[in-house]
Amino acid sequence: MTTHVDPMTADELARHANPLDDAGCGTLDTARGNLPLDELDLRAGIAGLATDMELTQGFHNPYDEPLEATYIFPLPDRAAVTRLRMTAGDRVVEGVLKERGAARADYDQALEAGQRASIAEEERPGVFTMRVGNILPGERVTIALTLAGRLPFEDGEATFRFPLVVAPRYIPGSVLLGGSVGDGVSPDTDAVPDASRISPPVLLPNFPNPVRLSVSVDIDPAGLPLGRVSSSLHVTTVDTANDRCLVSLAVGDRVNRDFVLRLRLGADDAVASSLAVVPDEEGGTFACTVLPPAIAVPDRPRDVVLVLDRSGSMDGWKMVAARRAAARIVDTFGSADRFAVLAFDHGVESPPGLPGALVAGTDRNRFRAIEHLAGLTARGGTEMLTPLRQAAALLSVSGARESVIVLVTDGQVGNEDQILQSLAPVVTGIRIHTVGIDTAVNKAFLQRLAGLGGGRCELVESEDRLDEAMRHIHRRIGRPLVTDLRLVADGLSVDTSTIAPAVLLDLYPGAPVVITGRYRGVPSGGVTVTGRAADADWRTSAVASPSDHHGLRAVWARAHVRDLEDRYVTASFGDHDALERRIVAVSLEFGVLCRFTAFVAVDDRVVNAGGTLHRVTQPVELPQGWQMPAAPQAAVFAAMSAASPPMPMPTGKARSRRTAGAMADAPLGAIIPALPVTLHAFARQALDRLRAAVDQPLADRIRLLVELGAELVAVLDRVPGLPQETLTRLRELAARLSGPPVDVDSEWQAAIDLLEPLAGQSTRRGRPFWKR
Amino acid sequence: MAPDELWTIDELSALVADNLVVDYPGPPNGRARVVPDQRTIRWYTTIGLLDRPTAMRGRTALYDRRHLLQLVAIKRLQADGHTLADVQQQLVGATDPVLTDIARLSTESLPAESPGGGGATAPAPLPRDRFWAARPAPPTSALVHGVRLADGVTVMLATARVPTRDDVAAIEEAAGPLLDVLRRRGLNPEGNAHDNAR
Repeated sequence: MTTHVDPMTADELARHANPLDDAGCGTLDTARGNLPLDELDLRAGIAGLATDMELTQGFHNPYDEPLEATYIFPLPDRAAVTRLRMTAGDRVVEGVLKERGAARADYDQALEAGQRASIAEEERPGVFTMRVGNILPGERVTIALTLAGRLPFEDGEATFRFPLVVAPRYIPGSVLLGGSVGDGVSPDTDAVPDASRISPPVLLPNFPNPVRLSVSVDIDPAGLPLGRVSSSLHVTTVDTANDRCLVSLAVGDRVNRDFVLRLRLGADDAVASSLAVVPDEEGGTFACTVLPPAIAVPDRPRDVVLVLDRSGSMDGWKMVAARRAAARIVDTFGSADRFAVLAFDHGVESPPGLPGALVAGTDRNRFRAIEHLAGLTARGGTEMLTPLRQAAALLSVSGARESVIVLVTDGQVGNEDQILQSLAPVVTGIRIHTVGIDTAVNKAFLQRLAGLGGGRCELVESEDRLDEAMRHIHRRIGRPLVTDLRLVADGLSVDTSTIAPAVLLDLYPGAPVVITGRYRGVPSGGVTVTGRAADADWRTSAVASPSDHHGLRAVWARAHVRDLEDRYVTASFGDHDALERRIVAVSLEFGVLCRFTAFVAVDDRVVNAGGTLHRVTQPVELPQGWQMPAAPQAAVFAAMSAASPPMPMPTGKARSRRTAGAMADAPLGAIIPALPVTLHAFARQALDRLRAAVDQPLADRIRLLVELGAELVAVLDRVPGLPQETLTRLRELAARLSGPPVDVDSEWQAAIDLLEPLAGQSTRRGRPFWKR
Repeated sequence: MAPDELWTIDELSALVADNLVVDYPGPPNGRARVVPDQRTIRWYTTIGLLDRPTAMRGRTALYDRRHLLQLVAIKRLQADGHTLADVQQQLVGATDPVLTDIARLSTESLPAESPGGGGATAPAPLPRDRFWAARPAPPTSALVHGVRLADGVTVMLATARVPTRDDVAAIEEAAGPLLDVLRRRGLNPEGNAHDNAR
């Protein structure tokens, strides 16, 4: 009944784009980097708001010794990992979920015995480590992970977000003596005792793409009015029968950012208040969706502390976006509000002329703050806890006023647990909203932090997305519609100790709240949700209706275990051992991976009796839009490599710095700081690249066209004063190049024809360049 | 040959220099710094060119034979005109025999076998068993601000905020009585024996 269109074209393209396969088994091809991980394949199915995912990681051994590969990788932080399968040679081994210590012992023992084995461990929400041991030279082992999730729905939009890379994180604290517990590059510290487990090595920018990435998402709206689908990667969309569509990756993208798919669902009310129940042997799981009521709440004067991350990792478009976001927030203050602005790196600064205390939101004060924000550049470390504690201290005197912290950051810190643990006792009564800006944002942390303070988390993965996100933030800062939500059984026998999230979020305009939990017996009756709205009682009820969301059980279990894990971290007293036992019990009973358990798979054949093992930690891409961390080049390299040409990396950095500086004056700011600043310069550079690539394989040429299309859009956005006709022509070209390839040769020629006159190299004189 | 020989950065440095002397086409002045400083070491580690230190003795990082191979190999490739990205492609994850080859070293010329030999080191027992159950240490701020009240008298503040000029003025004013007490007791702020005698 439903025709699936297999994304063969995309796969083929990707394979051509990355000829690693052609090297054949065991070939020592040093030019390609020889890394263990060579393939990532994501297959996802979306039905309504329910989603099932399977991620396959392909590891090969290009060395001439048996290999243990370690890969530090991200997964969606709220999804439940429910299954691991290892395929080695002709055998598929099913992973077993065990208490983490026991799983690790199994794995070590298998390696010692010369057996192939793999283990998946969760380091923190969203960050995992995969180890695959005893891969023989030339051999390939694949690991398939199965996940269940539920798409968040806000402002008429459902978002499917799959992170692909763990970004470098700032690691505070002093180094622990006596070694590290992981295979990453940062040593463990007292503030981040597992820093070595979340810090993969980083590939330099011009490293050939080592990983073949393929993605396909089968979307079944299941009755929801599916509208526009937009994506952060270059995808093609094929409509199939029954309103379904299949989204797949157009070309072999690099594994350097979150894959974000936004599904427009007609209207804000596309999702209704409901109580979905999924029965199983011991009762069942429920998901209660509560819509924000269409009421207005009176404005209350607010005290807002805006905390802005200006650390080094914010360099580039992120700092530009963060400054704009912060300025927009400051602009929303009225004279009855009070505010303070704290910008931090390793220290904390306030705008000159404004004391580091709350001031009235007058024109004069707002102007001073915005002026200060406009001049901020990225630098230094990310000591995030100090400004947050300072913000909490400022707000401790707020009394009856609505007190709010807004944190604008990429969230790239390793001491999440330390921050949550230290803030929990001091933020009672304070709302924390987080605005995450990055192509590979630390969503898990920003969401936990917002959850701690009953606020919302908005994510911005590109400058284009900023304006839309700011509209939502504006609507929400400090003004929840309904607070103090409680779920009360009303016929359905709800097990109240299982309600997740444990602390219910408040209802904000456009943002429904979903409450999950377990019930006993038969699914009859319903629940009532009560709360306070505009100083009056508020309530809504829903009656149970059966759902076929079979993954809900796992999604609830993951959320419930996450609550318990957060309590483990933030509770300063109590029986932590008992809490740990409970976490392990729930994790094992419901079969979802957590911090205290691990999936281990052991193939009982002995393949490496000799026991030698070469260990490699997979290096990963630097997230898109990041500047390479400062390399202490000058003295050493100048001395050491007189014979070598200048390093591309530091010069590249210097160039982008200059560009970024020049861009600070431009009203639109820099989207990609390394881009040329004039259309002329862009055209010349683009032509050079086209000419250089004319004999490249088809897939490489397609990729170049797509890149040029995206860059052209960025350039057009910030080059003022172009004639309308030129602009239209160029925008059409950009759209044509960015879209799915139709006729590569004619697109290639069209690009050259349009760019040549702009570069001032046209041989055809006297004709407007758009008239071919 | 001690199988578990470990070196400090200075010792490692000297060994790298020794091993580069033979047919090294680098800067002819011979006094070039051949071994990177701590920051460069950390950078090499970040991009996977150099393994983390083998062990720590107190605050001193210790390195072994594989680190020596890695550093000499980096230097060889750079001297041959390879960019750092090239170097990364060739060296990340390389086995010891490959490193030895690129470093143009013979096994005899090397001072010691690495522990366990040939990159096949078994992982040392974990320093902290059950690290996943560890809770982070409460934060201590390494950064303090100092306000000098007088010569020899400085107030250290563990606050996060940098004191403003106003703050400093207010602190100085409030410090008057304290400075008086110190002076009366001969604890010598801003002065010398003459002041005390007066």
